[in-house]
Amino acid sequence: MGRWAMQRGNAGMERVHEVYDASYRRLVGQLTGVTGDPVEAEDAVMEAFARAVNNSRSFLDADNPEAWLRTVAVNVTRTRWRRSRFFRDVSHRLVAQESYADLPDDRITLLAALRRLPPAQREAIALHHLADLPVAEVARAVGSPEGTVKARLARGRTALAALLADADLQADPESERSPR
Amino acid sequence: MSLPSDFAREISDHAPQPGFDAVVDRARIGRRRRRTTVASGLAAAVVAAGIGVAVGDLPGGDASPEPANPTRTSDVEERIDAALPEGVRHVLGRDEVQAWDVSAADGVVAAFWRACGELGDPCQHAWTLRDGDEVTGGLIDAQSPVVTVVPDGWLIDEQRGSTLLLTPDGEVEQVGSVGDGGTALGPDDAAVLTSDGSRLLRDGALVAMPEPPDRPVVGAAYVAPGGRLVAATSDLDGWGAQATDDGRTWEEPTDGPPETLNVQVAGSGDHVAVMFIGAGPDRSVGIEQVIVSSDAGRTWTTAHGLDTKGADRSLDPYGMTVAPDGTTYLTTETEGLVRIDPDGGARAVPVSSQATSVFAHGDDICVVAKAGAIDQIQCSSDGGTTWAPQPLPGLS
Repeated sequence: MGRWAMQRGNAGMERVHEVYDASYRRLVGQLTGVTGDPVEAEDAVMEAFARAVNNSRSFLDADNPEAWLRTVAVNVTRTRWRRSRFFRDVSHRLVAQESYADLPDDRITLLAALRRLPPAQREAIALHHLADLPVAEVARAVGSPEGTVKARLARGRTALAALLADADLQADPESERSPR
Repeated sequence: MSLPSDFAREISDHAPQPGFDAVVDRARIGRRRRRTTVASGLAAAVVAAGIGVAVGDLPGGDASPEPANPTRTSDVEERIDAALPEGVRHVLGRDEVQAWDVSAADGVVAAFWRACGELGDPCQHAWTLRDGDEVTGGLIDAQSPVVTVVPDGWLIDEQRGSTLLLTPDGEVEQVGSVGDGGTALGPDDAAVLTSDGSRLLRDGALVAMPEPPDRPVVGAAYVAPGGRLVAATSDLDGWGAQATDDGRTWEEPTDGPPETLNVQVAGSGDHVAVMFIGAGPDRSVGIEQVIVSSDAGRTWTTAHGLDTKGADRSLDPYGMTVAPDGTTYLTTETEGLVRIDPDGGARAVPVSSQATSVFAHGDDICVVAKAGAIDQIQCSSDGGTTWAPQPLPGLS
């Protein structure tokens, strides 16, 4: 490896570390709506930072490193199904403990409702309404035109309102993945 | 409807942040996966699609993050077999569809498909079978079905009290339950995992799984020819592999690692493999240990060459099968396909960086590998040296 590449590699690692310190938890907060599960969000964000380390040139060239990471993390969540077969068997034991045990009930209910939304609508709702990103930035993060994101937002709001009004939500068969 | 604007911040406040070392360790695992992918491209031309995925990860590209996952195009729609029922064609044509389980029984390949998205009916499931040139398919009316391959086809547990048997000729039959079955073990029993726990499939009905007296939990299991049962059993101290010839008298268990949270068992003839799965402190799901036996669980050999402890440990297992020659094949997200010889020697097999289902099809070993917008099957008849692609059942 040449000296220039080595220096750039070190700079990349330092930059990822810097952004990790500043942005990791914020990204987990934003991605939790996308996954419907904070533990899955932690996993996706951690994977995004790992890819930043391995793609330091691309990461250093990015105008907005946090947006770069967010897009990668969203893509990671889309492939998580591959691990779900065995992950489901153990994940509920893990999420039942520690950090998120004291989230208010209405937040738990919201996460349960989000998990039942179609993924594309969930991404749009989570990033725009819950993470407070402008539509243009959501569009960049999910790789879709702004018009498509707006349509997903409209449909997602309708669906989410119906779900949150549904008293039967507590019987959600996915509830084992609740962070409680 | 108003959504809480402080939701993301609230989660952020709760989120524990691991040290940066965890990022570096994970990056190292990712680099190894990339090396494996590139090596596989050099070794076998059939993995061109896998290389395409990996190239997007290589440093030196533009400043854009990885592109979104490939979306299905009209090309995919045209590949759906016209002979399939309209409902099945609809499921296979949905953008979100995934072949979540692919396997073979009696020379017939089955794919089980899942498409999630619609409100009120968030997931649709379908099966497709291919027997030579014949393709059939049907819908599964369940939200989280569990499929187990059995000698007579595929047992589909709908997780709501009903269980179906899909036969290799495409017939779907209800499977009843007859309690304890009367006898502890029968020569033609098959072990299955249902939503109610581990069971034996006997004469078309589910019967109770025998339990060792001092280990009250029986998980995944395998019945070898002649009726010898090899099962994952557990007590409060942990999981192990344990065998019985008659269901009443059990041999001493071979203990698994104490970190084990889940166990998978697969077998072919007298060859059996047991995979102990655990979770790391960073919540990764990893293989703790694999043990293999060539005498139906009387003696065991621990697989070696499989990294279960270091930063490069094998993570995210997806599937496992045992070929008739006794070779165990498993798929992980970090290594793709891994083969374990009967002597315990394990090594990665270069076929694809992303492999999911793995199954024996006659004397061939087949794996479902990433191939653009939709996965495809790769089969090898020489133990993984060369591979030939074929479409998933229901697609051309």
